[in-house]
Amino acid sequence: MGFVNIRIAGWGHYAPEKVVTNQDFEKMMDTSDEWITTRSGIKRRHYAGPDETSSTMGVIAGKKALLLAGMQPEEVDLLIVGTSTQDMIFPSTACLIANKLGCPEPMAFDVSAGCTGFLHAFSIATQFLNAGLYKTALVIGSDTITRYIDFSDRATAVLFGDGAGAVVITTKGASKPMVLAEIHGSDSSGAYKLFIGGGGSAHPINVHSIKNHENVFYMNGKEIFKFAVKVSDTILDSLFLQTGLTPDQIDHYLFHQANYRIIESTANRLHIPQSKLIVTIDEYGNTSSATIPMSLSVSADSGKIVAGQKIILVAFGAGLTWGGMVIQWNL
Amino acid sequence: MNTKEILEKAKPIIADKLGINEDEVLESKHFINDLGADSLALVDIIMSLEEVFSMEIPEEDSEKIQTVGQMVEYIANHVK
Repeated sequence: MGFVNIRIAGWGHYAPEKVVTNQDFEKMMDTSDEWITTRSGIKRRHYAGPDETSSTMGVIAGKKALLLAGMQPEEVDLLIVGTSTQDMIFPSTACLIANKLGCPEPMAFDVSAGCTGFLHAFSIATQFLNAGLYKTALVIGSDTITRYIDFSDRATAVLFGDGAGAVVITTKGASKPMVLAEIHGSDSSGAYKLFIGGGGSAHPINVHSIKNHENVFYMNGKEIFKFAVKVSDTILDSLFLQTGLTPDQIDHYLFHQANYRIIESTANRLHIPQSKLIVTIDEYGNTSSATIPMSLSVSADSGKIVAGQKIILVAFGAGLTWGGMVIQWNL
Repeated sequence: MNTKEILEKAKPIIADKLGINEDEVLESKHFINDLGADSLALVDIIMSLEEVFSMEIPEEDSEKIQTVGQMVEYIANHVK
């Protein structure tokens, strides 16, 4: 397929200090640790403090990634942020992060694709590197979904946390292709199954929209579960077909951390052993666009992911959107 | 396929998804109240049955299916 040589120069993640446990939710609503754990696999999640935003979290993750890469902010030619909880309508979160990191003139923009945002952004970044237009990209997934939680809905309120993850990819010093295969897509017939309506041009924030609960998160959980499981199967089939790889040749499977039950269902169908699954949902909940880069960073820090390994990344989210990539962890 | 054949084919799938014994899967049983399913487990069961019986159970219909008997009857009426 003609992918250029790329290496992963650095990574980083950030989760806010404030932790909300299942026991905390027991005090807030009619729920229990057991109910939440068996339905989602989530134990804890981190909530952004009043002064924290998608850009401030992204800056911390991005700084760590650049430090690890041994690169200066000036070297970033391209800065893409997957987010659907941007600091402001405009400018983009990517520009706010570029400003705070001190990246002088990168091409900088956000990608809005719900929880698939990071994976689309990661793919877009590799295309620019493939084209030879840029050498180094900082790709960030950062979301502050807890600002939009409907605390009257116990089914969705417990699922989310905030956080950011960042990856620096570069063609400098790279000797192997990083992307082995990918697939992305959307099914807009599901656009209204998962949304935050308020704050956009259809429902600007005003007394009326707040009164009508338009400023909070809505999800048809059952339909999204079905979509996620089905699309994960489709993505994996395609990635195996494209690469000719078999499931046992993959070292790690990293699914968007939305619900452990989705991961479990897909893993069972494909007989993926538990040891190959990367799971961070117990500690962070669903951090939307941030789950994949955060999980990559956590696993690379702990030594679970090591150089040369093949990893399958699978994301799905609002839109409805999806993406899948097979990457090789070239350092 | 008659309802008896469908039940026999569906039993192991339902039992496996809920981690229960196959002989607990009786037509009279309510998925949530009797068999300990939750809404996601029910979706998971429906997806597996859709695959096995090569059919689609739309959401508006699946919401009406509460017991094993109703599931079997639905499949009997809609399977090609």
